[in-house]
Amino acid sequence: MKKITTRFAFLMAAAAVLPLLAYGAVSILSLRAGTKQTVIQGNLNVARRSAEQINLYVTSGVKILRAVAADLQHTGLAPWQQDRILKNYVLQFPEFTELTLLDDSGAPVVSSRIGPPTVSVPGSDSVNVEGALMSPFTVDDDLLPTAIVAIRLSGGGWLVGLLNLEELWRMVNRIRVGDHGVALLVSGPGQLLAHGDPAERSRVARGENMLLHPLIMALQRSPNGPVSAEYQGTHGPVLGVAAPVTALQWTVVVEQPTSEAFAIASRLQLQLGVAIGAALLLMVVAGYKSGRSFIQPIFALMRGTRALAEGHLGERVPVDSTDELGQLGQAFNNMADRLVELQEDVRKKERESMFGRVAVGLVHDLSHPIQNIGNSCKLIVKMFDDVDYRESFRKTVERELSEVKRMMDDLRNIAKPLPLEKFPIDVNRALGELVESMQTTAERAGLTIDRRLVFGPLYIEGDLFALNRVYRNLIVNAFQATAPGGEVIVRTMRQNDVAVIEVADTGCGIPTDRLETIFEDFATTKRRGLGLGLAISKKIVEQLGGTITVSSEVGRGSTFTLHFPMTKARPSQRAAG
Amino acid sequence: MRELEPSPPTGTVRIGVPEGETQSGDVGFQQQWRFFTQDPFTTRGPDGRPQGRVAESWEVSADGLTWEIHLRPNVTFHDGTALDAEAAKQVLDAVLARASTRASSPGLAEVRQVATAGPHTLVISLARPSAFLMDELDIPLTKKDPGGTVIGTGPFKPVTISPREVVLQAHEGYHLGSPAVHELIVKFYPTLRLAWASLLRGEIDAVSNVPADALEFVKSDAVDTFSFSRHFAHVIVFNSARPQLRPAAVRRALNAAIDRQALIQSVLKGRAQLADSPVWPKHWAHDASVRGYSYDASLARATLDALGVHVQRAGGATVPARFRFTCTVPQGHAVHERLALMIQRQLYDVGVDMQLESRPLSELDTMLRVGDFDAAIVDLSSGPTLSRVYQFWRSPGDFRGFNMFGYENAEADKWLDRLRHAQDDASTRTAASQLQRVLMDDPPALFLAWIEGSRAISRRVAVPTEAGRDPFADLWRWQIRRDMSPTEQ
Repeated sequence: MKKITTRFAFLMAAAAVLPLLAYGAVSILSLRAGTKQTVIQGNLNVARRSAEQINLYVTSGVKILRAVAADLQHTGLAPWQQDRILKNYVLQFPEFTELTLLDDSGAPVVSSRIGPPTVSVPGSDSVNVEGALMSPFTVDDDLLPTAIVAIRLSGGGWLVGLLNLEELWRMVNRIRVGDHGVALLVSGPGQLLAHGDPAERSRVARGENMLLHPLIMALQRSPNGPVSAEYQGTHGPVLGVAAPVTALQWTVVVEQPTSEAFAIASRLQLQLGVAIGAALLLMVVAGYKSGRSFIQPIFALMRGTRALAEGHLGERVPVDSTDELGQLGQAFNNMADRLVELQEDVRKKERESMFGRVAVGLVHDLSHPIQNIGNSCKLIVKMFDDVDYRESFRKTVERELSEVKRMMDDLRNIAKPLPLEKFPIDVNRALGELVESMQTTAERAGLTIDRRLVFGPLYIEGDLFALNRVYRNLIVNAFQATAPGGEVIVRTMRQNDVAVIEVADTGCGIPTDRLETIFEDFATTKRRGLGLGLAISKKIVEQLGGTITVSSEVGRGSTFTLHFPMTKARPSQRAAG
Repeated sequence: MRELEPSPPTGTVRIGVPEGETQSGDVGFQQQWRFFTQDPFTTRGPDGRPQGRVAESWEVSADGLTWEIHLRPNVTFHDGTALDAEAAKQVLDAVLARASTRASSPGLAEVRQVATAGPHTLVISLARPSAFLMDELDIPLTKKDPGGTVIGTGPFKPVTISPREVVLQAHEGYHLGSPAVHELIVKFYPTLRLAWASLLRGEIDAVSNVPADALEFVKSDAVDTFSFSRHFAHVIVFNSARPQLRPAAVRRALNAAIDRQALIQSVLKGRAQLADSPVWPKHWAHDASVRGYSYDASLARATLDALGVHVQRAGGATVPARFRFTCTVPQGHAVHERLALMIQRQLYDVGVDMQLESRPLSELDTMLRVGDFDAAIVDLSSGPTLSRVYQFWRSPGDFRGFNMFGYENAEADKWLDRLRHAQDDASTRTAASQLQRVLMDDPPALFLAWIEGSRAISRRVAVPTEAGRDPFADLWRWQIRRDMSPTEQ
């Protein structure tokens, strides 16, 4: 079963965070989609700008070639002057490593080369770049990328240049997207012209064909591009975008590892997740704390109630607020205060009642002997000479003083029980003798007393004097509770190793509500007396290791039952032992 | 750099040597692999002083005529036999027996006799004191087996030799310590492009020569490049016998007309050191206080005007010029061509027409030997020792050397001879300084730039070489990095 605090925490978390989670999920999805578009657009812009720069770079080479042609055509320059012009251009524009003027047959006229020219007019595999023919791109033996560019001169012949595309490589190398995004340049027929990753440049040297590259394939399907795609690169998944260098029929591809391209989105996603998680945790903690602070007064009330039930009437609950729970706590404390007052009242009344009972008992018990002694004293004055009366007087005074003394002993025993001396005694024998001695008293009261003792001796460890007092109390009580003509039965039984003694009468019986307190001090069903007899009896029985119980039915009589563990020892054996 | 620990040779290193000459001074395939198998008496330090290799130490007598050279006692040939003084003597005697040696090596030319004085001591007696002797003992110590196969003492020994690939194995008895690499394969490539592509594909671990233009494209996360000073200089040598080039003032004017910094920046991409004399600028005896040529076209024009060499308006077929001469350029050498074009324009700015012609290297060599040239652009191994300067610029006489340029200057000869026979550092410094001054007054050539070489080496290999030093010189110390698998290249 979940605690209320836990439920409260979950309730708060659910109420506060579930909408946040939903919002976060929607935000993340939007963020991913938006970031992806932004990244693609950004990379596309880079690719497009690069394509423009590459286009500009190559076409500027063509423009230089046109400028050279303009200096050579229709100017009537001598060959040495043309030679000088070509050499000067080559020195001025390092993009060209060679410029050669060819006649219509392709034979060199003048050249910037010191040795034989190395260039010729590009063939059918060339592309038209702003009116110039451009050969396929090659990497020369000195590791430099080159292409031959030729323009037709209006007066006949060709101006042919060996275009050093080293700067093109540098341009591609400089294209960086993030830390790991690089660019590739691919020609129309699919030849890899440049690669921004130095480790991949051997592919350029090999003239690797890129027609199976996902973006090149896509661009061929949709020539008006731009296109983008995610695919597996050399070192893992990449986001690629492509932009055409239209004039050259080349393609710039910008590739960036997806881990880097979407790093911002991933980071934001993580941050959002952490924020939501933190909020959830915070809400759970706050909910738990709130739940605890809410439920704490109720727990305190529970503890207080339990303590009161256990009798700890001093228990109070802290009252820290004035709200309903605070008021409830205050009411509990007031109730507890009132209970203490009521208990004090009850105790006071009990004390007063007991004092009254004791006083009445003492007056009753003392008044009779005192009155007897008083009457006897009055008579002794008149009948002092009567010898018989003097003897009767002596007996009367002794008897009444003995009664007073017994009463005093009872009171003392209640306050301070006498120490008992246990030794094996035969219950049957002691009871038999006692019943015999009380036969006369019974008869005077119009009662019969019957003894039904189990056969054989019934030994228990006991104090004969104290037990006789117990038996006598029970029998006298039975006499007093039984109307004349009634019967008192003293019975002994043997139950396994337990000796059972019963004193039953056919008297008025004891009301049920009094049975529970009948063995308490000063409790009596009689109209007179201190009510100490049964209390003293119970103490003695328990001191001897036995028990005393009572069963009674009003109008039918009562039965007091004693149980004592039997002992196998005999007085002689004990003495011998 | 990872700390290197001595351990048994392991792994294989493959070196690609592009045979196509991309830069003068490059060592070809055959020379390259032999370089790894042979060890000389001495090598040259970065300041030009001789450093012991097989020779551990040496001393010279007070009169400078007797040298005792103590060989390392633990040097062995690849066949396991020990190299002792007697074997070393035989090597030296064989070299000295060649006529070309005495004709071209000013230090060795003075040797009268080689003897032994103990198992590891050579005694060399000279006719005259020589400051160049130890410089010129960069002679590899080899012998031949009965089959004529050359056996060296270098860090690697040949196992199989074919025209396109040579497999070398670590010479574990190498006296400087066993190479860390067990096997070295030197492969021939017809072009740099193919060698570079192989390097990037991880098929080889190094490319011997990378031109300045290509450096930035070669360097990557997998490949590092190492640049170092070569002892070669780009030079336009004059045929001083030609009338138009004979006057020293003309050659001074031509030197003043050259903007060397522009050449270095534009053509050599900044990867070179300015040269204005044949003396290695890092040589311990080089006098930095001698002012070199600075670019001053006005001074050049004024000098030529003062000589009465004015611009001649010739017919329409030629460039109007004060005078013209032809500079021969080795065919197919892009850097030389570019340098020549730029110098041509710079000289034209002062009215000098330097015609350019292209010749195959072999033809150019012949032209130089017979003196059939006006000028030529070449790479001269003019450093790092002063004996090189002597070889190239001492007037031809009883010592022939390599002066094919018709250059003669008595004052220069005097200081060159002082250098040759100097017996202490002070004399050498004085002579070097004076020589520098004389050569400034009467420049034998257009000294342009000292070349910087570059090697490309895979990062799979740990190269324990200090900056500016040729990593191939320490190849025996290379190690395969244990933390990089071949696939990480």
